[in-house]
Amino acid sequence: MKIVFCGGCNPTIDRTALAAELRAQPDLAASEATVYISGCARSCASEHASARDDPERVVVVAGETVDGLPVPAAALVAEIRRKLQGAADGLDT
Amino acid sequence: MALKTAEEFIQSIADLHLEIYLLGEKVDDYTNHPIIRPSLNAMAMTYELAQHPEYQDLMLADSHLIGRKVNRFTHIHQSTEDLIKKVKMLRLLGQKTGTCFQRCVGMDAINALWSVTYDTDKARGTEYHRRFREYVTYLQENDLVADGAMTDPKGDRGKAPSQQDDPDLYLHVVERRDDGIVVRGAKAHQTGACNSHEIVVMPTIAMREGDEDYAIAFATPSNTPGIFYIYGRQSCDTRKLEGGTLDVGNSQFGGHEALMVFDDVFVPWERVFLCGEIEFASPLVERFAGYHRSSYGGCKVGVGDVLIGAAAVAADYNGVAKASHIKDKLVEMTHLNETLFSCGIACSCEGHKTASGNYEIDMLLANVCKQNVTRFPYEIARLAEDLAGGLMVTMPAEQDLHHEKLGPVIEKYLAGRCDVPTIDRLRVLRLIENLTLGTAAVGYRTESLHGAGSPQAQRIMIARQANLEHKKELAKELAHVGKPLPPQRGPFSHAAKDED
Repeated sequence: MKIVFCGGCNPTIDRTALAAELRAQPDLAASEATVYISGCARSCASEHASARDDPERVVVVAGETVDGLPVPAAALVAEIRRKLQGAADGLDT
Repeated sequence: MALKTAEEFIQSIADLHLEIYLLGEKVDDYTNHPIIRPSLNAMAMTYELAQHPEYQDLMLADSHLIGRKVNRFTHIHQSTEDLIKKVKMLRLLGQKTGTCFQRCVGMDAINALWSVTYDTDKARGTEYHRRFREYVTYLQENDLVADGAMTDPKGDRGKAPSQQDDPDLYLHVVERRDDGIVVRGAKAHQTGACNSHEIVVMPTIAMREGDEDYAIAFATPSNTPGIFYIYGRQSCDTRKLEGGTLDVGNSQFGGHEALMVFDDVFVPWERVFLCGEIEFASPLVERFAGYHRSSYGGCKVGVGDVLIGAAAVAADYNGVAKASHIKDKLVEMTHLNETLFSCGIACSCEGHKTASGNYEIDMLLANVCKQNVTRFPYEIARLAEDLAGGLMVTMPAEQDLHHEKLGPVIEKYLAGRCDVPTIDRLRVLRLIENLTLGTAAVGYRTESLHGAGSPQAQRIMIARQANLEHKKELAKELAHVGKPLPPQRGPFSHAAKDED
């Protein structure tokens, strides 16, 4: 898993804790996914999106949103997992 | 259809045959009524400037719906650059009209509904976004004005919509039919409603269980049977009936508000964009308010430019332009005005893409923008009155200037600098009066306070997004509160630890 952070000027979520929690899950950590983690809705991390990203395996977290829709901070990991499981050749379930 | 000219727009409003009441009478020829016409002229400027190449970078936008240039007021923002250009366009129009030109409310409404209908469909499996997309396409193809109608009369503010003694104090569904809904109620303070082709209705507050009939959003032509308008009075409005050009201050342009009544109005399902999904009333209100609060960082700044300019001209004509305290007051007015602009630009730069694809302003900064707008125009107006002097409110009437005996007396005693005609001095003072005390003060002062939500509404949003816990943690970290003192070390090891 590749994690891309924003600069963290005024985060409304704990970005590093979220990243650590994702990396602590072996199947997620071993996946080909890219997770862009921004501290707020401005979503600065996604400005670093790469053409090499597999669009099926990209998740954008921006504050308490995942891919633009509201998700409470406590549910972010579960929602990211759900998104990646929905990918064409996603995670094992 | 191509973009409308100003003349085509005015004729299209006349052709609607709206039911408008003013000063106790129904007004049939409303586009030529001397009280109403200046507001129509201000709205028409949104069409006029769009025809000129020198303004089109701001006035036009590339539609992602119909694949050609559209008036930016009908555009769905596709980037932060669009958000920035919106604010600049509003400043330009404030400069050109010196008043509220009324069209931003519909632009802000369609952008809020764009994302909320999308989110509602995702959560509820409805088809509102498809309907809304077709509706916005219709607005763009026909270059129409949409009035964004949010504010209900609200009755007892301590009670929910469904708990009011009179159920009509919030606009609501009274009948659901196979082909649509019938609605009843009213929308208050409707800026530009009588100059609009379409009315886009939204709920005014968050809804809870039991309020389902009130959680509605829809669009309908402004001349739909059952809709009528009671035109709002403005300070000094009847000066426009006197036929002169001096005492009105701004003889060409003005704003307007109206109480818009829905007396059992039918709306087909294709134009219904929310109906009973109470959990989406609050996001719709917040997003519309956010867009509209950012708009004030443009339009009020443009009007402020006019007021600062008028105050500077008044000082020139009084022969005091070089006095240090005059220059300092103009600097202070400029500082306040540009601070508002900075807020409008900042919340646009910090905007973001929504799940639906359009761009939304930064909510915290938009609310900070509007909070400043509730204050700074008052101080700018106070300084303008300071520079204008008392004559602004004591000068004789325009008719006296035309009086055989009084005219020369006024010319003699109300003269300023000898190379400036007295009439010019009086004209600029009347413009300042118009902006600070007259018809335009509705837009520049009270609308700055209450439009897009009263000050407390912004403070609630600011409190919600202040990220105070993060700030507390920052302070605790530096003060070593609740943690053992770290060993002495260079600053960079700490930074590295934070990220990974």
